[in-house]
Amino acid sequence: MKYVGIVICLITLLLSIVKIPEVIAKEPITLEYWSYQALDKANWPIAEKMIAEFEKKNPDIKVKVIPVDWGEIVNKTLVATTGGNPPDLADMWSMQIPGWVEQGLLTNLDPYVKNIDWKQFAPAALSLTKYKGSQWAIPMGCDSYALIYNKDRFKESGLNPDKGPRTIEELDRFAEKLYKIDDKGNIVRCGFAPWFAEDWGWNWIAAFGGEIWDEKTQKIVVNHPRNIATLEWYDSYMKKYGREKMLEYMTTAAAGYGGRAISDSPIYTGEIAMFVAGDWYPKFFIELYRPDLNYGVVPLPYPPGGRKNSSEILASVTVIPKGAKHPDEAFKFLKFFWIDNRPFTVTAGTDIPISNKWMPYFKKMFPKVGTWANVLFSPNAFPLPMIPAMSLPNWGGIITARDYVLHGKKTPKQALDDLTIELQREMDKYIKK
Amino acid sequence: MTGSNSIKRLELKELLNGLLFASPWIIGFCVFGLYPIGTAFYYSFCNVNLMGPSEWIGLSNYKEMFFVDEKFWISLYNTIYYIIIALPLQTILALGIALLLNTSIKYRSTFRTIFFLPSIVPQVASAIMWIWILNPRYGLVNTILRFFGFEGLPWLSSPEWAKPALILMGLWGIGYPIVIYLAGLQDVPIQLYEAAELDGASSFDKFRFVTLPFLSPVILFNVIMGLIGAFQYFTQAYLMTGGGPMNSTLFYALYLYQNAFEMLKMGYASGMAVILLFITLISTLLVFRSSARLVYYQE
Amino acid sequence: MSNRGYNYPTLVLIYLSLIVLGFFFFLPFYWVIISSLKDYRELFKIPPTWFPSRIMWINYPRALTYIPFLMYLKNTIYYCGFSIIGTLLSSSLVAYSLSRVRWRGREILFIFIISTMMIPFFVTMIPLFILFRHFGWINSYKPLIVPAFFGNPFYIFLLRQFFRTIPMDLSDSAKVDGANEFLIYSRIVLPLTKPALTVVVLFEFLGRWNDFTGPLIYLRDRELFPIALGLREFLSLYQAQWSLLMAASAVVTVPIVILFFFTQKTFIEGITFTGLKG
Repeated sequence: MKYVGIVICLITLLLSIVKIPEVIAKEPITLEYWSYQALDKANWPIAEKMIAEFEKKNPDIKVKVIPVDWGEIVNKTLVATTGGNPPDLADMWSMQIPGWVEQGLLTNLDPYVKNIDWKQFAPAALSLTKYKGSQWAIPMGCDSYALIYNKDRFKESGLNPDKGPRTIEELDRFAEKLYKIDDKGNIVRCGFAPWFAEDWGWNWIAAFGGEIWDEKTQKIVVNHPRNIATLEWYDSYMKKYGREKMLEYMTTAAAGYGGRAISDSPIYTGEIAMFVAGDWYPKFFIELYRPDLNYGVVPLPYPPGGRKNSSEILASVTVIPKGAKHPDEAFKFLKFFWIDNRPFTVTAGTDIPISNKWMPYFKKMFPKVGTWANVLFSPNAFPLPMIPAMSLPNWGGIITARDYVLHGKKTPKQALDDLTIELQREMDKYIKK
Repeated sequence: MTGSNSIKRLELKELLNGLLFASPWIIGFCVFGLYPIGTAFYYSFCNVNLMGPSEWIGLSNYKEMFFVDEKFWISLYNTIYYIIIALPLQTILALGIALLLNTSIKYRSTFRTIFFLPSIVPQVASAIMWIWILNPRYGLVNTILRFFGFEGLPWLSSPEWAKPALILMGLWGIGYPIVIYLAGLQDVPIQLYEAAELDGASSFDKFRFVTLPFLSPVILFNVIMGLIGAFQYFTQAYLMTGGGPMNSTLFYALYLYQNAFEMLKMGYASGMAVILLFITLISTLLVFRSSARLVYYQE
Repeated sequence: MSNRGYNYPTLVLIYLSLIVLGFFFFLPFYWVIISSLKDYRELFKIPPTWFPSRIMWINYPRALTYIPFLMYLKNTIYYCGFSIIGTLLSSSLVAYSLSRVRWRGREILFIFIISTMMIPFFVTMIPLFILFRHFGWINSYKPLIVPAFFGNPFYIFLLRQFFRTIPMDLSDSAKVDGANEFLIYSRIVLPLTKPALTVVVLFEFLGRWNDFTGPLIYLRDRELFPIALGLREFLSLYQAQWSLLMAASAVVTVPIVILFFFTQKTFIEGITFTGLKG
């Protein structure tokens, strides 16, 4: 009898122990994901479906997405992380990564990504998530740039509308034909100028074969001879068409922010016949504001010794801040969301695919954007170097340097020498460490 | 003997009352103010590491600011430029409009609301609107200039005109000082105006000898607050120009912000904040000193 | 008010100036309203249209359903209400100390209080966040509301100026009659400065209504967001819903306009002092 009693007790004990882990496991973890993509109301429902799928496959994980305005998300994440109360996941830009890593604000993803097959991703996209040899973020999407030209204006000026310029020499020659100047020297039609419409300073430097940072010598080389040549080419447009007249034209030609959202913007009417554009132009601007624009796209023209099919590349990324409560589960979700699947950015054509897996589909659905996708995957793509100094305001300082040259306040060499000194000063602080 | 004792007791009583009434702020400062402000001072002497111990570097940040960083001086110049031009303009305009709005005209309430409206519109909306108004080709401002025969100006696109453009925009946000002046104008006793009129005073005399003295405490307030606010001017520049073109709208507070949140140089930014505090404090004290004789409190 | 016996030309001048200036001041609000009624393509048309070619009334219901408007509104009213109460109470008390109580060191304290305004908020933002995290107040309105009960230097300064314009004789004679400081504060000083107190209420309401930096940093759950944060949801990365944003902005300004219109009565009524003035 006693033995039966003891056996019953042991069995009950055994059963209760077995039950306990089950009870513990049933507590779902909630991941907090701060995303600006979530504000994209038109396309986010696809992502929501994907999140639901993930939650079904992983019943112990819940994902709470908090939409944050893209202008504020970096600050909000910074304060929260420093304050010891970060979200599990946050959207960000590749430019932030070096500075954030130096301040210890990000979780190192190396242990998690050991088994990931990166081959499907564009090398440029990957390099924008690495710093000092470690992986710090997962890429969401990339931006690349190319040249849009107005086919109607080409026809009018006797140029072949199906052959956009491929070299700088062609570019300058075509531009000349497309320019219309009146007798007073005022620019009536601007064939082309390097700073229209999405000139973020490094694009043409990339095409000209320029450099920013020498990893081996740990030196900023922004005053590289090719960079100087690029700015001198910028200046040549000023000199050729008259600096004063050109400056006057620039200030009135409403390009840039706000200028793209106007149906009669000079870039859409053909008043500016060729211009640099980002991959989001077809879907976000042209289709909405000027769907009848007859345009062609070519990768940025390059000079002899320059880079073919190049442009500067930037990435939007997702990170796991340091101190996140559930980094393991967060990465599980990251992998599912941004690596194995691409929720909507590709299906909606709002981002060029960064993985080869999606390229055929993308090119079929959005043929116009194909050129940009090619540039991203080109071996000459120029992702901006991952160094803290690049977070200097005005796009690493290049916009200011460019403006000094355009306004005739500094020579290209002076402007780039000054910028080199400034950037090197910032880098020296990190190298000393 | 008893006399001095009772004075001492009175003084003590007043001191206790003073501290008692001021206790909300004093307690609040000890709880919410000491730590953050103290940290900012401490950071200014460090190479700040946000997630770990910071490295003490003494005066290095300050040395860099004063002797190496040309943007520090550019930003200081831009802010002082703004103060010298915008502050007097805003003060005179606000006072003038408040006086006009205090007259017994019809639709007074509607007018007052109109002048206050720009201060109510959310900043994002007004920034977009102003970029448009200042557009060199189609903007309203240039359209009006051309109407009067002048040439349009490049405004935000040119280093020479970007600051004036922002100053123009700033003029339009004077709803707050206007309202404060309107409140202050209620304190002017009507009887004094009547007495002055009986003495044959002109409108200007009435303004100078009755209105102005009674408004002086409030004018002082608006000038000081305008000064403190102008030293920290940055939101519009941040939203609309990013400091450009060519650092012409890089105001001190904007550069501070860039150092803190874009370059993650918290120590350096804290140092800039300490310098800002001293400059603002000295300027404010100077204004208090020089206005002491001009401000009339009825005591 | 010096408004008796204006001659005709002066009156015309006054009206003219107000109309011309008023036109410029009204312009942004007008632009917001017509933009809210435009189709998004027309918003930035060249040359700009001063009246929508097609009035899109639908922008309003669209804007109000694009974000959880009522929820955000409720939060905002809660936030504004408590802040106003706290600010009014605490700031007037401290201002009283700095202006009506004759004690040594009050000028030094005054300067000290003002100097705390001379440091931009974002300099102290991070340590402040750490502080509030220690209290466990993150993701609530506490970091935003509780400090309001401890005085705001701007209003302390403002009320100090107004309190000082009341002659001390009033306080002194009340003291002779046996009143303590608190009674003088509540029964004499406060009623005499109604315009200033109204300004405090108005400004604090407006400030908190449009405040988004604080809420951005301290609030995590969307259910807690105030309208100022809600407005930014109209701006996604490449595509901002400008017309809807304008519609929402217009709706957001209406309560304040109404509040202002009706609180103006305090700015119109003159305060007549009995006895000592005139």
